[in-house]
Amino acid sequence: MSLLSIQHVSHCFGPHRVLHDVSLQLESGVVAGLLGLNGAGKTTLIRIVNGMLRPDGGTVLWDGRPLRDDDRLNMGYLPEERGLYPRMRVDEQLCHWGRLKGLSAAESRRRAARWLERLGVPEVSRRLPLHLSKGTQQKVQLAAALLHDPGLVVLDEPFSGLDPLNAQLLAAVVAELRARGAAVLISSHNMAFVEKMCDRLAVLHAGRICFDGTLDSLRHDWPQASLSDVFLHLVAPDATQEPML
Amino acid sequence: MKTVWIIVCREFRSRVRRPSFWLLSFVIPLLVAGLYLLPPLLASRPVRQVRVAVVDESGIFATQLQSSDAAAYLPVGSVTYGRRMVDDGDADALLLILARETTIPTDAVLYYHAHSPSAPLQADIDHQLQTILRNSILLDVHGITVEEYALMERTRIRLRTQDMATGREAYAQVKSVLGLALALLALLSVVLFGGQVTHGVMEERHSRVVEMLLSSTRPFPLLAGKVLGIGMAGLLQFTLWLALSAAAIGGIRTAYADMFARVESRQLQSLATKGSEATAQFQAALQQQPVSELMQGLESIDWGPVVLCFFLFATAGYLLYAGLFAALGARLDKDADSSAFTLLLSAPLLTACCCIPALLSDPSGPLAVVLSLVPFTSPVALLFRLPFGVPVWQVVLSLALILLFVPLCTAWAAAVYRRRILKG
Repeated sequence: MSLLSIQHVSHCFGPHRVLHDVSLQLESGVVAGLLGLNGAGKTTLIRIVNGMLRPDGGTVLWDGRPLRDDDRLNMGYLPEERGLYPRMRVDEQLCHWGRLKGLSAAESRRRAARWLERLGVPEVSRRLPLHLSKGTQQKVQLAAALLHDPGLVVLDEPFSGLDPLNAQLLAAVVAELRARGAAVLISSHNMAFVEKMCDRLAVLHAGRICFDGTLDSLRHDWPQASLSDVFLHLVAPDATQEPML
Repeated sequence: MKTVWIIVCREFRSRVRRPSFWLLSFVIPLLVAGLYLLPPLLASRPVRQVRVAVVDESGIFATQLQSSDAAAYLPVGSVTYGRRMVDDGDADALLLILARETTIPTDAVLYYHAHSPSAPLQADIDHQLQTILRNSILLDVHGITVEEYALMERTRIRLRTQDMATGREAYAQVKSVLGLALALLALLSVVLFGGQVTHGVMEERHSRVVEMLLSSTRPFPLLAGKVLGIGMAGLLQFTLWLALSAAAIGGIRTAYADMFARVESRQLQSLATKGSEATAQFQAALQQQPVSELMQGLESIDWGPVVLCFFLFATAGYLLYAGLFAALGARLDKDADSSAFTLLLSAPLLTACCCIPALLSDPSGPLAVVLSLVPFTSPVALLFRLPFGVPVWQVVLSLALILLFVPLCTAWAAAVYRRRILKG
């Protein structure tokens, strides 16, 4: 059974329909990539998965039953636009996020220290995010998303602002999450990392899913093409110059 | 509830830890104490005595004008001599009292050379001239002496208003002042701390923290936690302001006891120069009104229910408006707009303040009752009426209506909050 099942979800903002009958499945221990051009509806879909938005139509199932509020305690989220309290110390901030996700204060502190260590920034523990570089802030935010060992991790544009070394570190962390059985949903424009890290892909175009399958099936259908070319062929066929097959 | 509490703790802690919180908590009482100390400090300064040459054509006033620390009156024989004294610097001004056709002088001129005479000096001269003239007419025309007149002035009927059931006096003036103070404090707490809610929401929007928050909790507990946390920090600051201001004023009264005594004695002395009957009046007033009436009025108030109701209505008013202020913070894009919109949102409370004169003339009338039951005006209207006595059913109904509107407003604000915040 899928950990997360998105079934025929639609959503409108006023007269503008953002998602049309979107269906996706995500199993535990699987890293899925969500690709799409800007404005395709990726962030809206992620917000529906997170329970921040209610779909106008369709349902989201968690472990086979409708998604409940307390299921969010088992989700970790790294939003596209990073947000930390600028004047709250990193350790206190992580403790706060941990407590909001149901951990005790002591456990939150312990796990915060562990994650900062794992992400290579233990020294920032007592500093204010205001004084940290963009990349370090992103690591702190990632620690906040993973602190409570969630069953589902949603990463929206996780590579933006990361240098190649830190992108490598993030890829390693994602691999660890998969190894411990977490489901990971990554929305990204970084095709190289998506190709390297993801087990399956969903391509969203103008609010509709135009591809949903494993990376192996994609390679089988387009053996010669790069992921970038396939993606462009799916979402903007007129933009591709050469035949795909 | 646990989530609300976590957010309450964060909001409370983040505000209480700011240096500005403690700076304001101490600076405001110091400012209050300074404002309390300043007038007597200025009044206790040694004053320069102004010398006034007096030319009295009527012959009634010159010898009766009484000099004081502030002014010395020097009778002179002619205007020419008086002018010369001013020119030579022996006098600061020349007072010419004219006597023309009638025996009663009706005109006087105060000439000056370099410096315009101060308003208190002019008031002193005016008062002394009127008093001397009145005493002269009383004695010459009616045969009434100054002492007899003073006795008449002291003999007054004091009108008291008394509750038939309890036998308590009404002390309407004392209660009006207390009611006004309670209403203004409630207004201040709503506007001041409601503004902090607006600012807090805008801050979270701009820093994008809100998206992380909304992925962990729903908007309603998030907003409720924010409102309660800021409210608790506000309550602490308010308590500190009141306690520290009271302590500072008490300390100043003790430390500068001599100065306060000196200033009061000087004021008494200054009044004494205005005639024996004025002193008698002043002393009588000191004995009876308004100090003793103020004390009796304050003693006549049931402080327990008043304090309890103030706390309840100020808190409920804040909670009611805080949701609206949060919605405002979610809708506004510029911080600069927040002050104007905060004022606009407080319009119902300000309207209630504008109705206070009408409430004063009829504290139990239909307007008073309506304003006390409408949740958006009741924190001010009911608190103003409280010292006059408000029926228990009105207090309970008013509070219940506010508390009914609090979750409705917060839920509406949470919906606005979620819609607006996720739009960026």
